[in-house]
Amino acid sequence: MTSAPGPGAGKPSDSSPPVGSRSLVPPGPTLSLASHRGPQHTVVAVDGPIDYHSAPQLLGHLTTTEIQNVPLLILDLTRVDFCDSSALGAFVDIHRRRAAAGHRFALIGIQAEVRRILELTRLASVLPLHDTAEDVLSED
Amino acid sequence: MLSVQDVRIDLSAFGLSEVARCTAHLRTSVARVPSQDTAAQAIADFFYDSLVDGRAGRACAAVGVFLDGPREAATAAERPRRHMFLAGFRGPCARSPGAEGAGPTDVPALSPDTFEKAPSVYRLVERLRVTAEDVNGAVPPVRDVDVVHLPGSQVDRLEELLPGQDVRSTLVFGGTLAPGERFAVVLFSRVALSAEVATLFRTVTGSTRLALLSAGHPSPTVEADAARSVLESMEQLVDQRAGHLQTVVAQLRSATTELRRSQKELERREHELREEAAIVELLQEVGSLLAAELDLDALVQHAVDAATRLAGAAFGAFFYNVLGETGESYLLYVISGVNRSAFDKFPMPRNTRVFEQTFRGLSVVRSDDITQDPRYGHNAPHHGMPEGHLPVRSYLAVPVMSRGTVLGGFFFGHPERGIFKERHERLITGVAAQTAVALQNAQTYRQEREAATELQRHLLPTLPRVDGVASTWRYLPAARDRGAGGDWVDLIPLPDGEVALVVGDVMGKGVRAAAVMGQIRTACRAYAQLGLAPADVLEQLSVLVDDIAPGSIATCVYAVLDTHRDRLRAAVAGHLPPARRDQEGTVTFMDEQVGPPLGVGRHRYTEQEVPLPPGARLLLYTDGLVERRGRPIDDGLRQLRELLAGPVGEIEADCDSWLDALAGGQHDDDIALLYLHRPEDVSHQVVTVVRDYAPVSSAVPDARDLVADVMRQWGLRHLANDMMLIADEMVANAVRHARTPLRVELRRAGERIVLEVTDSSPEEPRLIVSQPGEFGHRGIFLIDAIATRWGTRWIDGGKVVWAEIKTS
Repeated sequence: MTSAPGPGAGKPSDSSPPVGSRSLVPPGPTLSLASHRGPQHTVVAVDGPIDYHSAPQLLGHLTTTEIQNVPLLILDLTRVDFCDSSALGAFVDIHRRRAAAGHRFALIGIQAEVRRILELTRLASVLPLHDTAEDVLSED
Repeated sequence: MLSVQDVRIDLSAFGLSEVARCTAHLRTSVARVPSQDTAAQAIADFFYDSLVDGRAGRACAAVGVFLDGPREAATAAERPRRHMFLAGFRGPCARSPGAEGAGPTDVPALSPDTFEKAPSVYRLVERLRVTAEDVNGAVPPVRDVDVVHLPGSQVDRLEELLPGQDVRSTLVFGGTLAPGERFAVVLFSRVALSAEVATLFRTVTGSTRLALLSAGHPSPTVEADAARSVLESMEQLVDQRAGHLQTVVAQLRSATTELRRSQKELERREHELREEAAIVELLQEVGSLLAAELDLDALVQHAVDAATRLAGAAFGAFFYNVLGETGESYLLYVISGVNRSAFDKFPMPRNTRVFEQTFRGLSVVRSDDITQDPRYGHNAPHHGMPEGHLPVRSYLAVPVMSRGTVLGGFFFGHPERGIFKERHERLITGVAAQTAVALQNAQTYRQEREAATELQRHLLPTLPRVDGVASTWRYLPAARDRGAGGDWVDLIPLPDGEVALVVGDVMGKGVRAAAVMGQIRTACRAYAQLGLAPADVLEQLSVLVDDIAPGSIATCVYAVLDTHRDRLRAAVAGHLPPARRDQEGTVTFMDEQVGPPLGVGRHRYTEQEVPLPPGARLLLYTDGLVERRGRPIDDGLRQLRELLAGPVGEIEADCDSWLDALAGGQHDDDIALLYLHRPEDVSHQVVTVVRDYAPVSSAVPDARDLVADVMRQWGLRHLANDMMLIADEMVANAVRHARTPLRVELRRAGERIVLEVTDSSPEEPRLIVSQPGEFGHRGIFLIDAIATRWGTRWIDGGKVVWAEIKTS
């Protein structure tokens, strides 16, 4: 289990000095992400709403070389009760990238509100939606 | 055999070989001459005929050869004295060589006595430091020759002596022939001679001496000595010349190197200067461009475009700080060289080791390859550029500072290494300085403009809330004319459940119309507070207009709504009639009792009274709404009636859709509206929640939270998800595209909820023009799928995007 950038990730580490009042830069976003690594797959569990504010953070995390090279990436949205069009854009982007690189991608734990938005935008049939990680892994 | 006459020795290019040739030919010229006197003439002839200037003309204007005359008897008291005489001569008054009677007789002998009277030639000879007396008995060594060179015509009476000969140099040389016997040669040269040539003539002097000695019956010993000394002198000269030549060659070589070096230096300086000039020119260009720009958004875009071009970067970004209306500071950015969407998916940069240099204003960072920089790649989570970032090797970042405060920062990237040179750094530092000044100008200007807008806002009413009445108003300046207009509306609460409603229009434009409008409005409020009836108010106003602004004309509707009796009394002074819609949707114009406009003298106005019960609506408006070039006013009124009779909803949304249909942003005149709705029950009261946000991405979750809270308070949990999604997409859109402070307003009116997002960007709402595939495209799709109706409207200095949903 690796602790990926969570609420504290935006905070300065030892290599980056604290954000001073003179600095132009605002504090970072606050999406909570946790990765669980299997032999051939990685499950990234997201906690919090994915929106215009947090989608860049999610994209940043999912496009690190380490995660990009995983053959199967499962995005667990069990604790995501809200998605907006920026979230959808991020899902589609990751889906395309992984498909282009010959890697698999799956979304699990879709909540009712998220499913409604996916259906409204006709993306429910485009994105690889599954119920659980076991469902995805049993496809192998 | 070559005759002496054919010999040509160039005096203008006199060198070693010329000296040698002189020696040889002097010997030849005196061969077989019987005496020294004859030899003297032959020598004069030789120099006169053989020395030529650069153009093969005679080099000498005159040549004289002097010898010591025979020893004269002297008194015992005196030392023996000898006189020099002119033994050979060629020149303007020359005797021809070998002519009979040639002799020294016509020339006075040179002696101390005659010195004062002697022609200047003799004085020249006197200047030779060779004296016969000093040498006694022995053969004088060769050093006893002397050469006197007078550059220019520094000879007394020379012009008299040799008129029109243009003598440039005078050369006198001579020496001793035998103990006590001197000789001297004077050359008047038309060729300007250098000191160097004069030195060469020392050897020529030796040759002349040898030639004189070989004439007649020379003593073999003396002749041999003379020959040896000529040879020695020649050798010396050759050595000297060789040494000199070497020096010259060495000097030349180093001069060539020096020249080449200074040539390079010159080229470098010239290049530098040209670069410098180009930099100054470019900076001036950018500076004047930036200085002329007071609009902040346009300014930063200009700045980053110019800077990216000057840096030769593949792309550039400018991050800058903006103060929000509530005083908070937030970071915005503009991009040049690539589409903004290339950076949409990345979070805002943080104070990484690389970035903090710029964000904290510590220093300029210029790198040929930033990925090799020791500061690169230390910060989680990406440790360098995030995946999908445009490739950057060459990197240049320059902070924009003013008085110690970081206003912003320029960032430039290029996929190749070593693109940014010192020149680029200097250029961008210059642009940064200019941007700092321009940013401050723009911010000052913006503050001033905001103050002016604020003033205008104060002039127009914030309508007070009145029980039993939902109201709103609009004021739209003419689409093509930004001058202040004379339109106004007002709503004045009165005692006993009454409310006064006013709409008016002062003819004309500009400050005068606005000032008259202000006075009428103030007076009108005062009359209203006095409790005057509508007809009385208009009568008083008419007198007032005559008084304060003679010649001005204004139209006006003054109405009083009695919310207890549900009745409306109105008087009209030359204005378009109020439009009333009853509960059933029937529309009537109150056009039965229209009096003359204000400002044409005292007039007794007539009132009309109509019912206005709950469920009814009333619209007061100015002519800009229905009157338009190319459309008769009756058509406009008919269209307005149809709209009012159609389906109606929340009053704000109604206003917007009617304005859209009637004016559509094409109105020639100002438009003012006052719109009332008498809700049927208390639950129809309008409840409004307003919140301001900075245009940063965190405004999106904040606005969503606000909507969730409000919907819960209103007991509309079942609509919370829909409203949150609408708020999310609308705020995200404003943050993404407008990038100005934004306001979220949530209103509940009966069965309808309206959400509005207002920004102050003059740009067209991008919501409608989003490209398929962009997030915004799906965003608008979602809003369209969920909202009952939605739209956009322009307001002064910005726009509103709104969406309405029904609660049942």
